[in-house]
Amino acid sequence: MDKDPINLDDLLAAERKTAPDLPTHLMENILADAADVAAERKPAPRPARTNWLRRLLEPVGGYPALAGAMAAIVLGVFVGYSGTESLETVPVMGEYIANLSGDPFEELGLGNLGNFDTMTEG
Amino acid sequence: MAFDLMNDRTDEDLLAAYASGDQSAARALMLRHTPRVLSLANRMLKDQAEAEDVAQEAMLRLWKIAPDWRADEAKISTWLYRVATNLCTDRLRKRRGVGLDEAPEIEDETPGVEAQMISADRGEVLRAAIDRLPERQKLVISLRHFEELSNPEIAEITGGSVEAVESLLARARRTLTAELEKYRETLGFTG
Repeated sequence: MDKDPINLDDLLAAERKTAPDLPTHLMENILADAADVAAERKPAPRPARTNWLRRLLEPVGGYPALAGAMAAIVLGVFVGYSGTESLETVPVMGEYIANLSGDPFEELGLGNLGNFDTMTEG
Repeated sequence: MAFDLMNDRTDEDLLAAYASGDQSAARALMLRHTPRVLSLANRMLKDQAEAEDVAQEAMLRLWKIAPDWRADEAKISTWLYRVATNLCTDRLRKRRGVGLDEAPEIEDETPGVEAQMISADRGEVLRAAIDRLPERQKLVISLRHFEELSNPEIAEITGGSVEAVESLLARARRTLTAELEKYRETLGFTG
């Protein structure tokens, strides 16, 4: 009678099918690790970035202060190019100047300041 | 998302999904890979608690590397086996004071197989014979025949050459066959 050959591959294949189940506590531990690692990875919420212009203007009153400064600059450039007479063409300013009784500088006790010719001639 | 909806997704897809915050992807990866990592660790360490520690640590390292994973470098399964193998090697080194590479390829001479055949069947005899293999032979036979990896994959995991893997496998198979021959009648083989 021939020897029945021991087939190692068949025995190994049969053994392969007997893989143990995954213990519940191990699954729970592994999933808890996954959650912990994911939580550590989430970056802390960054503080909201503020606009550099806003930060610059905050100490002097913010955007309203900027609007006032811009209006003053525009008026200054306008007067500089057009002369003080042109102020009368500005609706509100014109009415104000027309109502003045005399020299506004003299009314304020600053008569010499209104005489530019005198000042420039020395 | 239910696990059954993830069966058609690749490991790399799942890992990327986990890195983006999808915890169900982590569950799918765990169910897909942990049993095999645990099985390998169990065969190497012969200690269920230690094997579970190794499986948990291997998976933890996967979670940590997820955002930086580069799919072109390795398969996730191969990477996990390599991590698990290294963890097992560390534990065996601590037990014995030497590493796998330095461990002598001497077979365990303690009486074992016969004593473990109280209710002998082929599976038990085979497991006992595998346990008695030198560590590196045990590792490659487990990866080849239980985890069904190719020789190049095993070489990548063990950090050796394909030729070294083939040599270890051949020696392991010769040893196992010789061991099983001793119990031919008990195992129900005629002759």
